Order: sequence, then C-alpha cells, then structure tokens
Amino acid sequence: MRLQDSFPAQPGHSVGASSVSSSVRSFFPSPGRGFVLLTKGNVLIGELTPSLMLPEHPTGDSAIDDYLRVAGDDPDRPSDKTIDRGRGWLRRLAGLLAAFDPGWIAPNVSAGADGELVLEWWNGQRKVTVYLDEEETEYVRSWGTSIEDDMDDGTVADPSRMANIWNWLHSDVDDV
Amino acid sequence: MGDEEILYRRVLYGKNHYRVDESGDVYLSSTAFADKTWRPSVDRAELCGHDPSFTQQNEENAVVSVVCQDVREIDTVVENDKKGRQVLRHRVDVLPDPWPDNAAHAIVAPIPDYRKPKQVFRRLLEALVRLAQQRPWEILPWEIRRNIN
Repeated sequence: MRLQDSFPAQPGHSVGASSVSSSVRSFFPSPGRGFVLLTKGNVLIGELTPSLMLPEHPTGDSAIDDYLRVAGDDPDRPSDKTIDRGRGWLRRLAGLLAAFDPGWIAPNVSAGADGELVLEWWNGQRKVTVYLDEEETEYVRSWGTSIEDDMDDGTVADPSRMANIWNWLHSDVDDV
Repeated sequence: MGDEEILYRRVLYGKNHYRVDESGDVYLSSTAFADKTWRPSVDRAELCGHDPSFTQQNEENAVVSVVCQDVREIDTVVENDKKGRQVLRHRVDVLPDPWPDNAAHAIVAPIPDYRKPKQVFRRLLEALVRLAQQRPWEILPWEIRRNIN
C-alpha cells in the first residue's frame, strides 16, 4: 500500500486510482483540517477524527525521546515549544504512514544551528531533511551534490503534505 | 589556499550528527556541518600535520574531510524570490581564518553573503555532507571504533 499523490480529496469527490484491492482502500488526510478521509473505491465514505485515527504512536515519540536522551543538557537543544511541536508533528506523521509501505521509519533527530529540530531520512542517494521550529516546518529534498539541480525545498506544516515526499523517498524509479 | 587541500571537519559525539545503522553503515547528518554564522569551520590538513586527531579534540568525536576544490565547485548557490525568480548567485569559497590557537582554521563562506541565508545555507549543508560521505571517514564514529577495539 502506498500513499498517493492525489490528495486533497474533497467530500463526494473521487480520489486517485489505487493499487489497493481491499474494500477500504486508503486514508487520505485533508490538508489544513486535521481530518483523515476514508475512501472506498474512488468515493469518499467518511471522515475519521484524529482522536480515532491518530492515537499515541510510540514510534513518533520515541524518535524525539531518543534525541532528548542523547542531548541531555545540551545548550543547543531546541526550545521546549519546538520539542512539543515536533513531537506532535512526528506523532501525526507516524500515524499517517503506519499503514503504508514501507511504513513508519523513525528519523534521525538532531538540533540545527538556529534551534530547529532537524529530522532526516535516507534511502540510497535520496535524502529528506525536515527543519521544524516553533512556527514553521520546512524540508530540503536532495539526490545529489548540485544545489541547483539535485535539491528542492518547501514547507510541510501539515504532515499530510509529506505524502509526495515520502513516496519519492521510497520510490524505486531512477528519475526524481 | 590550493584546490588540492584537504579540509577536516569535526563531527561531535552525542549530538546525533550521524546515525549508525544495524549493518554498520553510517549516515552523516546535515547538522554535522551546521554553524550559527552560516560559515562552517574546517581545519586545513596541511597546517595540522595531516593529523585528523588535531581536529578531533575529544576521543569520542569523529572527523570527516572534504577537498577544497570540491567545495569551491559548489558554485551555483542560487537565491530565488517567492516567485522562483533568481535574485542572486553565490560562489562558495574556502577562506583561511587562522585563530590564535589554531592556525589551520578556515571557513566555508559564500561570496557575496547570503541575503536569505537560511534556505541557501541548508542546501549548502546537504552538499557538504554528500561531499564528505564520498570520502572515507578520517576518524570513524566512536560507536564503530569501540566495537572494533
């Protein structure tokens, strides 16, 4: 099962084709609303609230907890507000990705130069880095050393926006 | 500074600046080159006896290296405006920056300075990490050395 590139889905509207054959095909986050949409076929059949769909995900929390254990009293450690925001962001991401191939993979977590929480995932030459501070969440995607040709960046305030990036990171195709 | 010069970068232990996976592969984090002034510090190998332990400082730290020419060839650091239009191009250079207690100290610096440093600098970090990973570690991470010994 793979996250698809086709959201946002809107109630009553179809979503993109899926290779999943089960009757309940996919969950699609609704950007900016904090909901998860349940689809059957290409038709939206319901919404699940975060309290139903996104319980505590220890994998998301453990990545932060592992970092805090390593960082100790490090003066470069991100603020508590950033840590809390990162914990919530990762918890949501872990919940969204848990059902999809390759599933949730805990990031490397470290501190950036400006007090950001830095989350990193690797897959061969492909790498995704997420910078999360008290206000913003931004990513850099890279697949080579050329800053102009082998990288792009943007914002991912809502973890659901990571779907395309996650698909790209774990795609088998050579083109990027 | 000559293009052929080797530059050492200390990778701190205990900050998750790298990840060692179960098979022993090591992934270098972008934060290994992070710097509050947007100018990552390096040591010139030829001015510290080609001894990476000079840069290591603490036994638990690791050391990676890059070649000066490779860094200078990151010559397309581009700043775009919100509409994606190119507003500035930077050349990346390595400049001597000797300290009283470290004559080998140098910095990786953009010319001209970044106007919007955050986004551009983050891409530079990705490039530096990739260049460092193309070379053998000068001093392996502590977790690996500890297991070997």
